[in-house]
Amino acid sequence: MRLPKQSAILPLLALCAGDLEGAQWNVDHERSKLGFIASYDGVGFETVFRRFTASIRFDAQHTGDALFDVRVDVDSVDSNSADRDDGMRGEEWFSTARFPSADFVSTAVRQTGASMFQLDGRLTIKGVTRDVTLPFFWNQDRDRARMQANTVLRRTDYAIGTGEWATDPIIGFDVEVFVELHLLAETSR
Amino acid sequence: MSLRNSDQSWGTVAKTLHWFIAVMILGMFVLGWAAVNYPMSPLKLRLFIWHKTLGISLLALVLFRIAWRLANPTPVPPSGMRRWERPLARASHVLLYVVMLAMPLSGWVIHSAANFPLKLYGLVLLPSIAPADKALQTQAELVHLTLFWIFVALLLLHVGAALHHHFVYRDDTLTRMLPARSKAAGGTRA
Repeated sequence: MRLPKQSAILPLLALCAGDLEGAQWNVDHERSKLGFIASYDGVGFETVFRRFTASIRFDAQHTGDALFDVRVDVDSVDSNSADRDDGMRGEEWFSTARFPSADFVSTAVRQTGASMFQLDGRLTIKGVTRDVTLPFFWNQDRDRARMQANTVLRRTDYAIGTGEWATDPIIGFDVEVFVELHLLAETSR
Repeated sequence: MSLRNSDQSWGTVAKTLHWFIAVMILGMFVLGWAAVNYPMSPLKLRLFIWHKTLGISLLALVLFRIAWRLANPTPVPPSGMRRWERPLARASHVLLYVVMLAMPLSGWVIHSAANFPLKLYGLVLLPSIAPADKALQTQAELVHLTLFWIFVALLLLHVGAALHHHFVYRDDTLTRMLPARSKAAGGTRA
């Protein structure tokens, strides 16, 4: 009596498990970090964004269904220097009053190695939208995953640092963006 | 002329340090004032970078100067001074050294609390001597500015006293600090 019952439920369970474990992820904000390393007179300084939200659907086995939608509250910029943070919020830099958020929405994901993937998407900072490709590392242990990505952006591509800053190298043109997300699979409601 | 001091004259090292540091201090006043008041721009950042780089260099020079002074005899004060003038002269010189040290140190605290990186002469990364902290930065800025005005007052007293010695007492206090004028050309010239 029990056997047929179980066999009927199993495929359903598998379907649910796939949906729950493999697809939707929530960010563990305590441990996650999103920011960049820029340079001041040739010396790098680390900056993080204290507030961001991410909607992530990812299954390494089915990259075709993946979707990364990240929204960063640019005003939460924190480089451990009050003066510098205020400067970065200003009109010539992030201009946070006019452009409070930076957004990334993926368009395609593909696998490039054992734990390596590549994310194509559209990145909007300060109202400027550009196509970017972001290689990332994905390490998953059942309902927990870690995503790590690094890429170099040119600040002038997004009008970050206008006026004299646009041509002066004292604040370096290349900015290394880093994302380290600790993720928890969304559990059943 | 000797490199070292005697109890009658300043040696070449002491004179060179005196005038070189004097010129640097005036340059630092101008650089610091310009850096603070210039509108935000790459040039403003560069003014700060040079102000800080020269300030730390000055700190090293002043430390060497103090060591040199302690390792040498100090020329005796001229005999014509009034009794109350000697301790005043001594106190003002001690204060000048204190301010010459406190000025770059308070600047270093501002720099550390503001948490901007600095590579001295583009070579050596300056370590922090205070935590990144806006409140501490504001306090250190107040100290730095207050020290500046004390410094200005002490320098006016210093220059005024030197001129007073030269033109009123007509002694060699000023001339014996001038280059290429050791005791031979100094002294009382009526």
